[in-house]
Amino acid sequence: MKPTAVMLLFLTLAAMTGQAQERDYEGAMLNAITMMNSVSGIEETVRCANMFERIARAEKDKWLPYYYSAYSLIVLSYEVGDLQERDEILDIAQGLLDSALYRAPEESELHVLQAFLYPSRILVDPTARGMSYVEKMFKTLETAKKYNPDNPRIYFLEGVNLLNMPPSFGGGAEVAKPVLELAAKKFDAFHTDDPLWPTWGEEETRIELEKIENAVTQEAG
Amino acid sequence: MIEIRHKMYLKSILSILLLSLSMHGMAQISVKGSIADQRGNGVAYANVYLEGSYDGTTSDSAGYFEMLTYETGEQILAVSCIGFELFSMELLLGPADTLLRISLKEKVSELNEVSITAGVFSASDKKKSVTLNAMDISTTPSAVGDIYGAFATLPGSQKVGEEGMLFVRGGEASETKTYMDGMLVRSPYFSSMPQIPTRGRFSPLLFSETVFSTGGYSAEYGDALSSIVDLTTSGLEPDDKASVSLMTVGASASFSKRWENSSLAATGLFASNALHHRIFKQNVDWIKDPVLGDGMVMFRQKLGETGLLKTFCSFNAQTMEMNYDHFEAGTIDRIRIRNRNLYANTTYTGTLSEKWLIRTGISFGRDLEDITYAGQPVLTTQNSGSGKLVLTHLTRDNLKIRWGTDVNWENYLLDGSTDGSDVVHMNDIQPSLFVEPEWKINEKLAIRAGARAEYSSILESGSVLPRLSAAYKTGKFSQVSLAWGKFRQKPVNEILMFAPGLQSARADHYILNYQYKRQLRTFRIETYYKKYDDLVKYRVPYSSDPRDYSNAGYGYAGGVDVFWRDRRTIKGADYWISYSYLNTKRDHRDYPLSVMPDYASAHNLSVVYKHFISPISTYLGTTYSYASGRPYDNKNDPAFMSGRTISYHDVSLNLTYLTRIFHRDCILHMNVTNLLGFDHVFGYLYSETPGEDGKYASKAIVPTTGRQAILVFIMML
Repeated sequence: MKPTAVMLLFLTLAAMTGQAQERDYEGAMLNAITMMNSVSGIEETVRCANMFERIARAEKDKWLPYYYSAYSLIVLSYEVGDLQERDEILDIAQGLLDSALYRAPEESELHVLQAFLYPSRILVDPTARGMSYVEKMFKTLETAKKYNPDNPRIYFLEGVNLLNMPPSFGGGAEVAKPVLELAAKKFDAFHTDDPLWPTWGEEETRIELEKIENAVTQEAG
Repeated sequence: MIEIRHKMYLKSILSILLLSLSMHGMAQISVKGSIADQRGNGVAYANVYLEGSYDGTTSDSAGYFEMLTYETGEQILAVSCIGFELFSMELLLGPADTLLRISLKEKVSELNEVSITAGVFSASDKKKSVTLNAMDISTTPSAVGDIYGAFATLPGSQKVGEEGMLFVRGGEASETKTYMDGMLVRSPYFSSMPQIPTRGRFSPLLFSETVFSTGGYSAEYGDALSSIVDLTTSGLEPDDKASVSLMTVGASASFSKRWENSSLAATGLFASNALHHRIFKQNVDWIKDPVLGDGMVMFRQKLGETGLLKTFCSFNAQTMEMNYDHFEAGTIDRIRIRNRNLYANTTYTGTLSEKWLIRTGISFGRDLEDITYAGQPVLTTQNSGSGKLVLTHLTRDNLKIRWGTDVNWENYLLDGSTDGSDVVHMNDIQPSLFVEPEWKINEKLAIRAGARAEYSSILESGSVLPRLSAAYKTGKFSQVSLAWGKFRQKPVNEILMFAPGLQSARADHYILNYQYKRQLRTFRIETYYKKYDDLVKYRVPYSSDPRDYSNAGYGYAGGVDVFWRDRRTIKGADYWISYSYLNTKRDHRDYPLSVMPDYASAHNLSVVYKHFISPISTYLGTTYSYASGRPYDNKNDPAFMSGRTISYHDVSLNLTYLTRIFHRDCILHMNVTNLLGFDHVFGYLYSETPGEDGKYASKAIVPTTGRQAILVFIMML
């Protein structure tokens, strides 16, 4: 008993003379994700994105912190009215996404995030960018499918974009419905042990499908 | 007994632990301070952190930051912020708070900062300064899919409807040179009959970026008195694509294939005006309606991280024949034109090292123009080639220097006989050297100075020409630019072949402009003055006596161009208004004195409006063009060039309907020119001999037809 207690003492002292604070990756990430879900406005979102970026810089092999950093800025960009500002925010987001892709070039979620970024760019200059960015978006979703065909967010993005495209361009509710239904199925089947894994898109898929249903019943009724 | 000793051990362990805890002082300390740029302005949203830890914070709008940390001892503090170089410093964190004043160094990039705009309309998707791109050109009704037709709706250009070429700021069509990917294109226009407009050989859809400069252009370009058109072909094809199209003027098919690091695109076109001429009656007598066969191949290959190799090759063959009403001579002459044209270029862009960029290329062109005029055959063969090398040295963050050299070779052969007895043969090699530093003095001021040395072997003379331009940012969205330069151009081959001793013509440009660009709205006003000297004069046209030629001509051109483009105010619509005022006079050719030349008009106005009508999936475009009367020489009036034609008005319309047939994207496009059926008179021809009453008969130069339309159907496969 005696030796064990002394050993315990030495071990504790040794631990304390090293780093004053152990890096708690999961704790810091959960904290930041909670913050991300509650921020609004440019200043708060940038603080949150910077927080994720700091974690990313400290953890040299993880792509997820960069993912959330970019994700929070992309979501912000859709709400920004000033077009020049939107482009600037997306430039920052693209840089962060590129860093994530450098660490994990074959991660399906990163390609989905890229496909989520593109439509925000279109509004800055619709006539010049419309066609080429829509093309890029669908092509990137194909890449995401290649790396993980069960990623539900792929089908959510595909469906919601088809829904908002005019029928003459190949979109519309009829085309979008089966894709969104597939997304809902994939969300149900999606399972991961990682508490930090992105979860967005499930609720939104349900809402979009409801909207389609209501539109159909309105037409019929 | 044992329990009491155990308890005492525990107590001592605990007290030692507590002691050591207080010695370490597990308390947070604050690291705070301010972050500023080189000028002392606070930098907001900077990410301040300790390397290896999650601890950090974001600076506020004034650049102040405060972060709390448990870290102690030697640390590295870093600051990252977009637009700035990464900052780091060593820090010794003690028990007391740390106060810092940090200065960040700016990263000078192409995208933000001031850029030289005097005399230049630059368009690309990358730069936010989009003025005209491939889609713009294809959807500008009056252009009818012709690059030069679209540029004609921009300020600085003149309406010269019977020629179809680009006339810029009082200069002749030959004063504008065309480049593709930086390589000179000797014959960018198709062949055409007299008084019938031509168009550009290349489809606007090939180009991702078009630079139309109306003066004061870079030292990279030479041998052009007025302006430069530089077309950048698109990069790697994004996808595999195929399409066919059917038009009232022909049919075409194209496909593109993409591999991981390379792509190939090819297009074949067959065009015939036969059907078009049946529907829209021509006032000229065609024996053989113009027929064109065209093939084009583009290959791209990514080399390494940053290198791109581009190869372009196009071949076209044209035939047409008409009974030309040669009014001046009072005869009907049969003219047949057969043209074969080949153009190929290969370019490479890449980085040689961290500080050196390279852009190089070679091109080759061959043009055979076989004209039979009233039984007389004239075969003109032009072979041309060029090689170019441009090295950009990124000397410092705010200074880059371009070094370049190019060689243009031209071989001109005119055979006006059936037995080879009447042959003109000219060979010209034009080497040149240029250096052009571009200095961003600060985020508000940029200067580009250049010098160009060029030589022409056929003229046996060379010159050193300075160029200077500067831009100053007057506000977040506005800037003022100026440009000055000396330009030279050798006489055209048709004149040089008679008088090889002639010198180059000269022009000095002075340009000043103001530009405001914000949120999809652009306003530009530019004023310019060009002084011409050593223009070619001849006693009579087509004289074969070299003594009839001289460089005694001179002139000037001055004016104001105004441009307003708005893609925001009206939802779903894009419109621009372009107005040019031109005051020009010159004494050249066989003019007896200095007058406004017949291809210039004082006022030119273009209003282009485009709108996407979502419910019917249709793009609607309309152009209104106006030009004040052009000068013409009335032979019956002793005063030279005193006549003025009626003003020019034109309304053109195009509709593009997008649909899906058999699950394939289809486009139906209709383009109508001169919708309101205005009369157009470009000038007058006068007979060579007076009539019985002593007066010379005249005939107006008019378009070959009034209102006309083209229908195009495209299906993506």
